[in-house]
Amino acid sequence: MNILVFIKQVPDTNEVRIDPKTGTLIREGVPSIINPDDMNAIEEALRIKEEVGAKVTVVTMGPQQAEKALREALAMGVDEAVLLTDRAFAGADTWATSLVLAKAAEKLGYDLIFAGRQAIDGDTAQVGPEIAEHLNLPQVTYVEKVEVLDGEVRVRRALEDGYETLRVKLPCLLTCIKELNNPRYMNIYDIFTCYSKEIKVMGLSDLELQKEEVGLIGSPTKVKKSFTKGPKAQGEKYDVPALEAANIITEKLKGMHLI
Amino acid sequence: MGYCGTKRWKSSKVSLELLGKAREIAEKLDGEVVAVLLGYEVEKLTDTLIHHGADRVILIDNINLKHYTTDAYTKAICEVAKEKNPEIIFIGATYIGRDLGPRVAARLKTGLTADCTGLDVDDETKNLLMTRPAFGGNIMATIECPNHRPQMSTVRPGVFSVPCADYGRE
Ligand SMILES: Cc1cc2nc3c(=O)[nH]c(=O)nc-3n(C[C@H](O)[C@H](O)[C@H](O)COP(=O)(O)OP(=O)(O)OC[C@H]3O[C@@H](n4cnc5c(N)ncnc54)[C@H](O)[C@@H]3O)c2cc1C
Repeated sequence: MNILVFIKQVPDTNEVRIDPKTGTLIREGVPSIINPDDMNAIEEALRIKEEVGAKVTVVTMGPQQAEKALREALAMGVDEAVLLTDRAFAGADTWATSLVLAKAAEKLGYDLIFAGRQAIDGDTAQVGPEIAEHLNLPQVTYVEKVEVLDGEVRVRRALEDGYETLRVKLPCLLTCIKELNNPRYMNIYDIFTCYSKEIKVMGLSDLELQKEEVGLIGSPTKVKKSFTKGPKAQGEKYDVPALEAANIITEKLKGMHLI
Repeated sequence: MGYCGTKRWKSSKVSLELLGKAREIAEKLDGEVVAVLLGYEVEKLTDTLIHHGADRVILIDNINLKHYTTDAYTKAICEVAKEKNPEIIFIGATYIGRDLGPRVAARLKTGLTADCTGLDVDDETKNLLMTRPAFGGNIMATIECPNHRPQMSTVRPGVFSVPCADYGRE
């Protein structure tokens, strides 16, 4: 069984700082990590490999430095890593991103595809379902449990008010949430060998795509402007005994017609 | 010609919130609000949709739509969209809405703005301006979909208020 796992390199958002003058993100010197949901996706693929046998390939689209995310995945035990990089890919929205990833999947071949539910930077949760649509595959999002059966998978997907269990024929695409598992650490043996493994690099022409279909030009959505939320106005402070405080609060809430 | 599709499967609150906002946008664009209602034996909900701001309701009542499936719901919405060519489609950013939205957008070959918290119309271009948080809420971005139609966004529940029902609306 061939399992593809799409992973994205993201800035470690606890460390994200914003340039107070321009309102844009300061990326220099910000450590990058593998997107957290994608760690769950890698773990699940490795677990299935151990259970029923599979070849696990991680794939990312990004600049050259995204190689580091791929090496980390190799150090966790995945078999192969593919970097999709080309200047033409830059500035892609989810439509253009998912098109490139879907083309790569076609070239690489697959029985099962994992993605994270959501990336912590772009935060859209759209890339997984859009890849599935480009490939005309069934999808299950918000996956919190996976069992591989004969030619199909049984998965549990989270909903706001519970969950549902579905059976889906392979091939299919699943998007993972953190409830799925606990990702393993890199292991010593694979850390030693991950730098000697070859990373396959593919660009626009390898994927048989046109410049107009990808990157900023191929993206239907455009970011018109970005800004930081202004700080909230300062609240009022009262230094009073509890009973009086309770009265003030009820008066305020009544004033807002909330009670 | 603004034509806003709103999508709902249950009598969920976010659908009504969307209708209120869709009404506002439709007025700016001089268009109409059409709610798309999918489900099984859900006809009684059409009145609620009209009362909360829909000009018309397209009802697809079918046993195959009783429970949400990505496939059937995507197909139904895309058929409606292909026939009616809406200017705008809003979908609630529930678990189901976020499963369905990107699938529909990709099939219609158009853009989708995720999890919007602000919606407005550009005075000059009449394009929809969709504002959303990214980077875990550290940054806000205003997004446009200038050259593709429909313009699509998913909208977070609880951001817009439910409009007051007008039981006289027909
Ligand atoms: C402020 C801001 C707002 C944006 N808003 C929108 C918007 O509303 N609509 C829109 O279409 N685009 C938007 N974009 C562009 C979008 O962030 C990029 O297209 C991004 O490459 C993918 O989206 P995401 O980070 O939201 O991924 P998600 O869809 O959240 O990612 C889900 C999963 O898809 C896989 N994946 C995502 N990207 C890659 C990759 N490069 N390589 C491998 N796997 C990947 C991973 O498994 C990931 O866990 C925005 C960008 C910015 C900077």
